[in-house]
Amino acid sequence: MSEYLDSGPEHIVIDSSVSVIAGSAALTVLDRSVTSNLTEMGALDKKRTLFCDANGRVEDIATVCVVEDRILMISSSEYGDETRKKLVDGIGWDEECTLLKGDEAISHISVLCYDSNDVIPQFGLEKYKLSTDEMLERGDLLFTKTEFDGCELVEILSPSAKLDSVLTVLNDLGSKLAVEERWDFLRISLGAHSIDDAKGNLPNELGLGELVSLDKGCYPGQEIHARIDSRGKTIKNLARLVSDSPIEIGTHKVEGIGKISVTSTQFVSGVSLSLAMCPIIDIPPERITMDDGNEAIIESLTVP
Amino acid sequence: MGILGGDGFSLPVVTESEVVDVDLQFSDSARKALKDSMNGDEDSHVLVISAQSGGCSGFLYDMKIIQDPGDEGFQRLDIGGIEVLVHNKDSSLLSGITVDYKDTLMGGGFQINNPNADRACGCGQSFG
Repeated sequence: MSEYLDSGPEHIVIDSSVSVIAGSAALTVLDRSVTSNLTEMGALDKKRTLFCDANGRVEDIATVCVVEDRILMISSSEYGDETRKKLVDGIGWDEECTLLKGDEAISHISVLCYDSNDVIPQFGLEKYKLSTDEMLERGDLLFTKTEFDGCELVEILSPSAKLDSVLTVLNDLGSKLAVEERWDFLRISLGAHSIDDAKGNLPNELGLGELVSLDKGCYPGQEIHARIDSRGKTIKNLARLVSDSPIEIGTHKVEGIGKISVTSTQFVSGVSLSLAMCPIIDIPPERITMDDGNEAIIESLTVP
Repeated sequence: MGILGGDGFSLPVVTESEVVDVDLQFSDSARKALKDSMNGDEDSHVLVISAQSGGCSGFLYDMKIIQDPGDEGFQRLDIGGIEVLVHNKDSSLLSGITVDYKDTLMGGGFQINNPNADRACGCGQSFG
């Protein structure tokens, strides 16, 4: 859903939590706390993963990458300290593992564009193509991408001391620095979750079942995920609402559907886009009327 | 230099953990099984009971017979002439546990009943 993109790239500096996990047990300590199997990760491999509670509900979303002999973990800024505490509390007395906070040291820049090959040559990467499951290292910058329907998200990790030079390169290639509301609007249009959308929901309700390994063994929430896979039925999922009126975050009663929970919303230039957890029904109506009288269209999401 | 070679990283993150005086109970069958497992090495070896992240419920138990690590971070208890060690960082999670031993082919071995746990995994190895 790239209809809301401008003709050129747009970028923003994302407020993320950055952690560096070091030591011979680093991957083991991280692996036993998350839903994905990380044990086979090699240098510069990238994986998205989830921290869940014992009820299987998402507590944080993280992207992890092996850099040199350490693990770089990018997670939500809101719950970064909680996630770090959970990891540190779980290090065994005889395990060699330390965790450093790198929120001030590393900056996270996201660039939304039609084609990542329009962006990365400006960083001296003319001969390279970005991958969705690997980081590309160039000097002290790391690059990766996520593919969406009709566009790509390039993510750049940079030492904070070099942030200005990265922003200058992006400016020189014509990328516009987006304000937070505009960026959030684009994010919702692409169906990319924020932690506010994900927190407290089950991975399959969010379309994130791919991030759950059903054969890796125990991790917090594993029993619930296994039971849902074998016996469960997803009764709600995250969908996008499109309206020409602002929609409020929170629970709404909708005739013909039931209760929906709006977790993200932005109203820009007369268009309101929202993400909402909606009950799954056999024949959903094309248009819904919210409890405040506003009408909206429900669209299903394609999660990258 | 690489992205991790720059300035601005914190010192290793540490979290405050509550340290309590550890109290452990061993059933008669657990004492006997522990004695058998020690195989006469009681003078040089100890049993370490610990907790680490993981499992379905958040934390996993671990029990190891090892040479005495001589670490001041442990609390030491004498269980029938055998030294049992619990690290201070695990003390609030493990104090009050009862260790039992079931001599059955299926689901046998040492088993821990933990009054501090709000929930436990079906296999008995994880708690939270």
